[in-house]
Amino acid sequence: MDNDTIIKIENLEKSFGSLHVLKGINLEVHRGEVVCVIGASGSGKSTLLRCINLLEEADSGHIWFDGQDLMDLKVDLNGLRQKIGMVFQSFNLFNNKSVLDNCTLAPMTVKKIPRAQAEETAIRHLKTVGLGDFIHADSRRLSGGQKQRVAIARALCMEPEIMLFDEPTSALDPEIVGEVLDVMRNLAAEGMTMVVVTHEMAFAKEVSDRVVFMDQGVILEQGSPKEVFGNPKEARTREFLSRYLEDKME
Amino acid sequence: MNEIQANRKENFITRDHTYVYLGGSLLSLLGLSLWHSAASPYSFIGDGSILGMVLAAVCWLFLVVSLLALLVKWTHWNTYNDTIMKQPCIVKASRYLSYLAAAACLLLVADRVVLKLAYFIWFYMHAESNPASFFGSMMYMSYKGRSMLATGIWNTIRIALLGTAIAFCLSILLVFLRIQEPDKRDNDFVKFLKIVANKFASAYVFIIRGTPMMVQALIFYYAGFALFKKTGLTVTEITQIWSFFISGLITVSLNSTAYLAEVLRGGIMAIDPGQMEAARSLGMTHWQAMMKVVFPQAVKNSIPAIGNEFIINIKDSSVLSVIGCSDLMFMTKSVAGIYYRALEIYVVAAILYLVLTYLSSLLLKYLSKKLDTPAQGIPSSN
Repeated sequence: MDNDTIIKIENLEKSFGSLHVLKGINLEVHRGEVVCVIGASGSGKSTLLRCINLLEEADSGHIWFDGQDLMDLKVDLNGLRQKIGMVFQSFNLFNNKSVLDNCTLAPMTVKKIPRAQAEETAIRHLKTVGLGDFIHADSRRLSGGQKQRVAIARALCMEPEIMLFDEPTSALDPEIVGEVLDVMRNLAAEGMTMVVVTHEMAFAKEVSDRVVFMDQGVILEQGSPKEVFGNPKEARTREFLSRYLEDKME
Repeated sequence: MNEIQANRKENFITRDHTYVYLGGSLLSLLGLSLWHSAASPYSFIGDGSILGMVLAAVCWLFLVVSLLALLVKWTHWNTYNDTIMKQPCIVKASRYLSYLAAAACLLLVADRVVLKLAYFIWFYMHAESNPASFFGSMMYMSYKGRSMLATGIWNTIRIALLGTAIAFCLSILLVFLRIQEPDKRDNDFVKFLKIVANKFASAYVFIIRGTPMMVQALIFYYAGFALFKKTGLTVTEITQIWSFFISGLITVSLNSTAYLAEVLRGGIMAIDPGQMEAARSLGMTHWQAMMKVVFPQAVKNSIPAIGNEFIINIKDSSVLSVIGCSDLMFMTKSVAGIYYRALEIYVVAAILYLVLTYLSSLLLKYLSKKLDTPAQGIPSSN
């Protein structure tokens, strides 16, 4: 495993009861790379992402992060999670906190950063996601797009080495999807390593360095957006993409 | 809705409408009947007094006017709107006359009902012996036993308030034991501790919720007594430390702890798991996520249920009278024992409990509004 690789997944298996969700996943993510995971609902994309920061415990296989195997039971889980930012489909902002407190809570409790410094960092990140005016707002009163941008800022405040996005725009109105995607686009341009599970094909095509197509618990095909979208090798990929484009046209 | 109702009431009083005669006549009749009832020593409108006669005259006048209107209506059934009774000035005058009749009626109610009642209460309170009448005996015993009842009320409030507060603190500890679940990544010792904690909390809730508080009160009281006895203290010394009040308070606290722990557990369960996941994904430990994110929200959502527990404790602390804890129930029993009359004073106790729970529910409603949490009515017993 060379220095350039930040995450390496090997033979990852995961079942929920009798439902076999991940059937031997192998994937590498390099530093500074933007990987988009696409595929039909239920193909295991979100589960794969949630296994990477151990919100789900995989049954077997290995996940190396920075050379440490996350599946090792003795690994410092909380220490590793600090370096892996996660953005959820349903935002999951802390309902009892203001926008600013959402962003400063983890740096202050986990990294023991003094409040003033944490707030400074938080305000900087909130400004980059375009929410400089909402610093003291009640997080419950924001629109979906604003909530998701706060969630991104909150993850950035921990200064992660990689960001995982679990269908970040699926819960949003079509009109405000753009504001979240813009933030992600800028993040990618700054060189952040990102793994994005998404149904936004245009975004995947434009931003990602590599597209991974998952189907029924396996990675069926991966390659540059040009390869996957322009000239898919597998029949199933072609079927998915054509159906997706049809749906979009309607 | 309330605004509409208020408007309706206002319209009924300030507008000319078809019920002016009917309403005014009813008030006049009530006034006249009160005028002919017996005056009490507190009365300021004595039998045959000028004021009384004027008030009666007003009532009669209104009745006569109403009767006249009725007769005109009778004879001019279809053309009533063209008669003199429908002239704007007459309509307005009869409305103002109805105000006079209402005022007369009000004065008579104050004199013949309110003051009469006040007199009777005073009379029965200072009776030589327990009056035979139900109401009289209620007043007599409430007055004679007022300091005992006041002590009872004070103790009941103290037990309910302190008991709920202590129970809330203990239930936080208990619910943390209850929600422990061994994780794959814990070492064996931690796993063992977590299982023990979880089982202990489950067992506590199971036992406390499955037995009556009256039995718990007796067990705690005698168990505590036996324990102190082991230290070699004399009975007098023990009763000073392990008083009825203290053991009653502890009973209520330990009992409510079980219920509140379940309330809090429900509150924690009701929080979106995404909150915990988001906190964990940022590197917070389970404990940190619980303390900073999940638990504050759970407690806030549980505030109405915690308030209900307080009201329940006001009522249920009555079973503490079995160990002699001098709450309202015990004091009521004592008053009943002194005067050999039970039903009357128990009705008084019921009214006092009702007032306490009603005032508490008002207070909780107010607090809920302030804290932006949904309020509830008076809850049923545990």
